[in-house]
Amino acid sequence: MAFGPEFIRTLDALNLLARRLLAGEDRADRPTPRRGASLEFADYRRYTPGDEIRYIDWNVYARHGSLFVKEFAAEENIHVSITLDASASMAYGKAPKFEAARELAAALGYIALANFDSVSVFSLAESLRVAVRRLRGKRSVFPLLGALESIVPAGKTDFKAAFAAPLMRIKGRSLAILLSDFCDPTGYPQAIRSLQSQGHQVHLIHVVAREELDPPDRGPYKLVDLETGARRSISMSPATIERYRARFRAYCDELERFSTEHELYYARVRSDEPLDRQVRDILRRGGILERK
Amino acid sequence: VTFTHPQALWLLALAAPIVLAHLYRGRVRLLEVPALFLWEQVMPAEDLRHGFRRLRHLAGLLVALAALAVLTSAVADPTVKGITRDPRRFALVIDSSPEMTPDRLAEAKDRAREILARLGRRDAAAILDGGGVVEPSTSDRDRRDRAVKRIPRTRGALAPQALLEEARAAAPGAELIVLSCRPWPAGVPTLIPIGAPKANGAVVDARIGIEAGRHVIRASAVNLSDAAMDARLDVWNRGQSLRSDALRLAPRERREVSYQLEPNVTNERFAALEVRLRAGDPRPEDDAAGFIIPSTKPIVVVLVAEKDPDQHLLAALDLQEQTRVIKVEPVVAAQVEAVRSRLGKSAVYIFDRVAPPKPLSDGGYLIIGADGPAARTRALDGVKIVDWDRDSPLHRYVDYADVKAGRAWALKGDALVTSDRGPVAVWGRRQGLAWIQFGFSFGVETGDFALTPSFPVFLRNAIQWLAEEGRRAFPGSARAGETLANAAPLADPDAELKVTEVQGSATKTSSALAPGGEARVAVSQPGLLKIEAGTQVEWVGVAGAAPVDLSTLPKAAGTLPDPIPWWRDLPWVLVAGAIVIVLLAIEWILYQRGWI
Repeated sequence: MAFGPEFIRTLDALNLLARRLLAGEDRADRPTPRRGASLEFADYRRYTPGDEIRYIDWNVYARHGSLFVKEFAAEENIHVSITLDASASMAYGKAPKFEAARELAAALGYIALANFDSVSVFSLAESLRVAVRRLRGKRSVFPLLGALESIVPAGKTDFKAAFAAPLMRIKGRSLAILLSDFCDPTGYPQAIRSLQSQGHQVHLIHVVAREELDPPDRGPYKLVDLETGARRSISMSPATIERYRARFRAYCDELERFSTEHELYYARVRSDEPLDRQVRDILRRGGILERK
Repeated sequence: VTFTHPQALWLLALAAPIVLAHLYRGRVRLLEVPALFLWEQVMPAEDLRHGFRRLRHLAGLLVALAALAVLTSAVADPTVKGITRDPRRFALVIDSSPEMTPDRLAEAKDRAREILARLGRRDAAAILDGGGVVEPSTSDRDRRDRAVKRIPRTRGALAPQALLEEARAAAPGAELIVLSCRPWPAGVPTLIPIGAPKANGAVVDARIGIEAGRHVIRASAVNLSDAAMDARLDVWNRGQSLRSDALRLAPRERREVSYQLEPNVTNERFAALEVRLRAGDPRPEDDAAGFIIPSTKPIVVVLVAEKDPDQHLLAALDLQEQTRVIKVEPVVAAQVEAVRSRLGKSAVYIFDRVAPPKPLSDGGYLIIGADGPAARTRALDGVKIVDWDRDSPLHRYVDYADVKAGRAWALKGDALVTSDRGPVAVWGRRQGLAWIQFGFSFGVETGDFALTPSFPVFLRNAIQWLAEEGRRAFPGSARAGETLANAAPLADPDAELKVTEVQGSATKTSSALAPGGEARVAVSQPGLLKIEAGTQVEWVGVAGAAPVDLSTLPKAAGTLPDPIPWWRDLPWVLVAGAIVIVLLAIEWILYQRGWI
């Protein structure tokens, strides 16, 4: 996994978008609900002994005869937790979905690190596993890539089980990015609602393979589920294929509708498309990435 | 089951690749999918039942094999006993004899078209008319219709029996259908009568003879209808009425009439007689008869010799002169031109061992033992006659058996008499000119022809032929409905023919062409016909067509061919093609619906 200089310049110009005010641990450029020492005015409060005299607003004192001090917003970094679906279904496709998701996770992680945000990476299958935790600074790119390289797709997707516990006891609230094919139709709503209830802002990136959109034509097939190994016989006919395509589109639409209803940001990428195009598509769609 | 094209059955071999393709296409392949839940939602319920699915898959193969079988049968064109219809064969004889008037011929053609319209696509029919086969047996409707359309009136005149035999030969085993207005011999399976009974009077059995030295015309006037008929019987000579008698003919009466010609009618020149029954019936083609009677004046025979003519020749001519058939005028060679300018072309010239002047102009010439129009090739000695043209009018009652010609010249041309070493007598003619040339003389020193009984007979035949028939291009008699053709070349092949039909005092003139010197003159009405070609004039006596007693119209016999329902006449190729298309459509629908 290697990014070209041009692509890195593109990533450097981007920032992850967090609409909610999320508190971080280090000072940085993102506004937080806390009061701090930034240049951005936040509010007034009555002077209490011990306050810095230089923060007293003398104009207000001249008008009201009472002492008020100015408060400023704190600017901190945020925590970005990237959850990469590493179930067996992600290995599907000539251009495997997992490879595309992993490269995209690396790119998003790089953007976060370049903007002084901290990054944790989790792998998702039957359970949620920490790949790397709280990386900071651009220097952490290589540990990030190493952690991503170490993840191997296997097992079954089980959103419910994976997100049953709080997201690995991350301190504070984070920007949770979930890259998955969402092949667990009953599990993902509950899991995402659980994340939201913990105060995380959730971005969904749906990775699909070309073969999912264009299944093979005509003939009898035995379908094998990559995750469970279950088998089903089917006679592929134009009618069957058309029904499947309609169903697949409907499934994607359901996922997108769920995102809208729950104020999530949703983007769909195709695994056979180049990474820079995927990033551009996500940027164009808005809600997840922004230009600095 | 039999097949028109059995080699097409090899197409069935395509079943093997179809089955193989089916098996190959039908093999179950493994397909990994990220998850089954989406597929399970779109799978037809039947897909879950393995046996039924296999059966449906087999249905696809069966449809393809059925399509192949139908396609093969379309090319092979099967004939299945009891199911497919055997092609029928017919021979349609449309009578075009003179008795078939234009309206009857048109009716016959309409009936013929009706019959042909009843035939199926594979049925074949041969079309014949009175002259024989017009269109050989064919199943091509357009060709049959064109053949019916182009049948002319009065083409040929084959006898019914001969026509039936020709029809059977043209379409062996075919069912004969005859459309005619006249009775036909027994054995015609289907006879369709044409025409309706109409009153008809006619002149029949007209003939001319010599009785007590005078020409006598005998004829019968007949009433062929069931009502009495008032008519007139006229006798004309070249537009001049000789006699006119009122006749009342009882129903179906046949009355003999005769007329003795006054001698002056034929004393000087020939007579062109016409006997006509004016019955006012709708069939004028059998109401008259015409005759050409040569002049009773003796034929002038100019005997040309160097000095003295051959004695035997002279004796034979004397004998005829005594019967006043000819008049002999002996001249020496030097006087020929003077005599010719005096007598003109009516005389017959005999050149005895003297060559005639060249070229020969109009007239009749007998050249004996001298140079003439035919080239002499070589001199022969001890010549013996071995053959002669027995069909020639010159050889009527003439026999050359064992005749010795002695010394002779071999001649080049149409052989009249042939020796053991080639032709020794030839003949030739064109309109206005006739000549006979012998390569040997009739002297008895070396030959003996002049001593045989055939010699005077031959001389009589020759003089008659040279004087009359030999100089004519057209025959002297014809029958209404025929087409006259010239038997001898025309004097002027490029001349336009002027044809005058003479009926009593009425004339009708038309012109005819003779492309390449071959004239065709249609004779529609009986009476007289005058044909003028340049300076040549010929008269033709036209006898009436055979009268039809319309009460004897043929009785309808047999049944017409059954019409074929359109659906039974559809080409199997079309039906099979439609079935294949339906089968392919079924397969496509089943495929689209995911059944196969």
